Amino acid sequence: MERVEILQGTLDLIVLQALSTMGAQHAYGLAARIEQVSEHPLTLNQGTLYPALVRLEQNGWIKGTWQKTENNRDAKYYAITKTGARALEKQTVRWRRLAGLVDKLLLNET
Amino acid sequence: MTLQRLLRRLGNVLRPGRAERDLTRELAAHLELLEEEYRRRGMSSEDAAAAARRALGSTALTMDLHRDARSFIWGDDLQRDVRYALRTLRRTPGFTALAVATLAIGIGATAAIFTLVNDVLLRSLPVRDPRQLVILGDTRASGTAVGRQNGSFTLFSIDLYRRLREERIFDGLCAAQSSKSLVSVRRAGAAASEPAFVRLVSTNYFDVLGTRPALGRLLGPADDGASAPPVAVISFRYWSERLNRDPSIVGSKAQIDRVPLTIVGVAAPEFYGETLEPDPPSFWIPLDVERQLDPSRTLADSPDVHWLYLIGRLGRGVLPPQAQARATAALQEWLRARAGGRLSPETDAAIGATHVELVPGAGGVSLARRNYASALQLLLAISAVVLLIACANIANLLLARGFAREAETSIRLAIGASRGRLIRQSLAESLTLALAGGAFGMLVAFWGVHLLLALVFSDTDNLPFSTTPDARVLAFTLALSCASALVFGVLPAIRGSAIVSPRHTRSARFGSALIVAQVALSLVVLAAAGALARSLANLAAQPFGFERERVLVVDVDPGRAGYTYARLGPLYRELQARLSAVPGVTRASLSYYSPFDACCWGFTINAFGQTRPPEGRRSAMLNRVSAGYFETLGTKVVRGRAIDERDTPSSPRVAVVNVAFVRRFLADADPIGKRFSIGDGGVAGAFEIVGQVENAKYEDPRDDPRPMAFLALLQPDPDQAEGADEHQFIHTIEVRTAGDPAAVAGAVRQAIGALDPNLSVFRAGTLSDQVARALRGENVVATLAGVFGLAALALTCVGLYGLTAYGVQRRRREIGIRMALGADRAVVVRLIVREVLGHAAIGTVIGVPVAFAAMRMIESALYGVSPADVIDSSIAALVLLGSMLVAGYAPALRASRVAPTEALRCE
Repeated sequence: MERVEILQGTLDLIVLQALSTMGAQHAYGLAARIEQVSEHPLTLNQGTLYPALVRLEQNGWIKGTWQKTENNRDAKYYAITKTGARALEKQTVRWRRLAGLVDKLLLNET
Repeated sequence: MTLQRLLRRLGNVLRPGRAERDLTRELAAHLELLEEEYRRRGMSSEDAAAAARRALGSTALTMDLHRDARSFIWGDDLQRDVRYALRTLRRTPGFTALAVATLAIGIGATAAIFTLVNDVLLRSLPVRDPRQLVILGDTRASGTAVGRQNGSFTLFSIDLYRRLREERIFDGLCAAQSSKSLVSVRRAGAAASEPAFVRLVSTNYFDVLGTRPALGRLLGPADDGASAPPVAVISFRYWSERLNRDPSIVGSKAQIDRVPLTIVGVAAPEFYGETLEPDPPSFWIPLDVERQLDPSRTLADSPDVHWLYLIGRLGRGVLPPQAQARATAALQEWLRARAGGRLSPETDAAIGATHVELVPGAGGVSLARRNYASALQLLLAISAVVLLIACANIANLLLARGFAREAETSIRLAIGASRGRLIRQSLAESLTLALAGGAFGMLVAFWGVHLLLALVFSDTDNLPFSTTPDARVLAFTLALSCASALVFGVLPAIRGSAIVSPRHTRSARFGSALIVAQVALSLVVLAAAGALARSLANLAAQPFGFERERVLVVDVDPGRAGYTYARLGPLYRELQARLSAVPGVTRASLSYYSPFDACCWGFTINAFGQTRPPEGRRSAMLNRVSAGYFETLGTKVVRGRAIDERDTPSSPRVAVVNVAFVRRFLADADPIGKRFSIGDGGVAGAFEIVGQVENAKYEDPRDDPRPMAFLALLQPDPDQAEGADEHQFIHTIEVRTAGDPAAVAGAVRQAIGALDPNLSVFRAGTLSDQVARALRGENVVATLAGVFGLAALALTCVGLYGLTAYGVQRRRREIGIRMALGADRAVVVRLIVREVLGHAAIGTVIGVPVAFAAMRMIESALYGVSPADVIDSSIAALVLLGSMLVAGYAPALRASRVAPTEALRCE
């Protein structure tokens, strides 16, 4: 199975998007979600999520709080903040533009 | 947003614990959730646990990455690394002590020299906005100058000062006596008088400089004018040390050279005046008081006698070139007015060539700056090289230790520590070492500066230099420590974190390169030290033109003791007669100046019937001397006769000149019978030359001998009113003795006191001390360079010894095999020594050209030593090779004692 490396900088966008659609999630939930969406298990070394989470939290885009899971375990749940939502919009536009540009370039080359 | 993140990251640096605990909890929860998921999919609990750990990846790495993201690597990790470093260093106390001591010496020496650089070259006057201050002229000259100064004016008369002040070029323009006077002070109620230094200043002096009184008031406009009651401001130091900070001093009376004054205030504690010098003045007195202090001179009423430094405060928006142009215009106008009607085209052109140069005055006037600037820079460079050598040593130690920790490093890399992390940790250890070295270095510097100042200024402890490090010195030392940590830490850190299989040989090569660099640098330092030592020896051994042994020089001042011109003749006769009669004295003479004692006053010379030398080369130094002067000093008369008893005030005016005088003014012709006059408008041919003496040095041991003329002590100058020539009032008495001159000092003082108790002896010292004092700067530089050279040599030897000993240790097996195969001891010793000498030889080959280049750079500091001279470099090379051999021989010997069986068994 080919492993898709997550592009530098896109992990933040993916996390924000996931939180925005799913609501508050703990890191494991996020990892599971990303694997599910990508349809490739083990795409992500789940540990690499953490630096992204702390980065986003320090930017004030997400906020983590300790809560109980359904099975009554302690887990840190991350929720997207208002500034986070705005940042997501901005980043999405940016990403689309970039992706479109790369697409176009690739098409022209072939 | 970025700012927010920056703040949070900073927050995490300060309290790293919480985030760390949070993350551990979070990761544990993550792991459990994963496990649960895998169990749900039907795995056994063991498999599920393993799969979960695989999915999560390396926890250690995650924590590392998390740490990097949430905080600053160099902040958060630093704390951890420093703690780790402290633990490691404590485990190897020998290594730590050696490294810290080496660094303390290197950093301490450099910081000590920098403290002096800071004191002498960098520090501003402790006054308001010192950057606004400008000095008029380069203050190269001090004392008094009569007539026009060629080119740039630096000394000004009171009249010229007033004229420039009227121009209102500056926000304020103040004047200060360019030299200071030693006076006797007697406070009201005090039993005895004591000597103190006084400087005459304009009444706006404190105002323009911008300083406040510690007590009472400073000088002000009310103290201006000849009719104002004479007042004085005292220095804080004088107040503290002599008056026990007695607050009632303000308003009290004191007599300075029998002139009664009122003390009106105490200057600020940090204020030492405008001049950075040893023994700064204790009293500041208005210029107008000069008339009463020294009635024989009355400089205050002589418009053409220049004796003041001028300091101005530039107003906002005034550019120095503008101010300079206006001051120059005013100066030339004043000079033309002084010249009056008789303005020859030549004089007019000469006036047109005069100007005022504005020099930045933030640092004040500083003789020390001029005298010691290049020496200090040189010493700073040398001490920095020594520090570099010390760093190379520590780098070698660290490299060697890196091998010892090889196993530990491999394990840490294997369990997932990143290489960068290991490098950072190793650098943190270097930094810890360097900072410890820097802290001890500060102590070394503190004591070093004390010692140094005591060495240079052995005759006074009243120095406006501070030995306590200020913020700049502390910052310098800190920066120096960090830089050293990088210099000695980077290479071992990178080497030590790598797993490259042929590491041994490569690292050994690094060690060798370091040793070669050390040898080369040591060679440079040693060669420089050798050159400076030889330069000092040349200076001290040169023919001075007098015999400095067995001469006592005594400073007196009959003018201050109340003598008038008419009473000088009998006084001088009596003095010479009584002093010659003192047991142990073979000859005594009197003069205005003596060698290396604030010499001399210069005048334009007009040799009768000769073509004049070009402008700027027309002046000669003058001195007035009694009969027996040359005999007492041991200056040889090469033609004609010396000044003797025949030369009385009524006899024909005669002069004795030196060889340089004859060369400059008489084109090397026989000078006997030739005549010359003094000053541009002097009576033509007023003085007849009756003798010629050898050149003697009076001012700077490095200078070429200057043209000098010696006049008879009491023969009047036809251009001055009788008794108006201050140089007829002697300042020094020279006494030649049969034995130790210091031994007769007491008897000489007694004889003078018996003649007139009012004629106080300001100082009595030997002529050889006077010469030594003139050379003390050179002496200290040469001594320090020598000490630094030895330090460099010792460090290099220690480094080489360490490297060789370590190499032997590493090659025990190889040596064992060689010996098992039949190599005898001599072969093994040769093997090791050859390697040592190889290092030394390569270092020497590199060092010699560098030493030559360095010598060329310090050429101006050398006297009689050519930079192309091979002597110092070759001696340095020989010394180095010899020391290297000694340092390498011991480990070589140890290698030869390796028992083959044991060596083979040990691995």
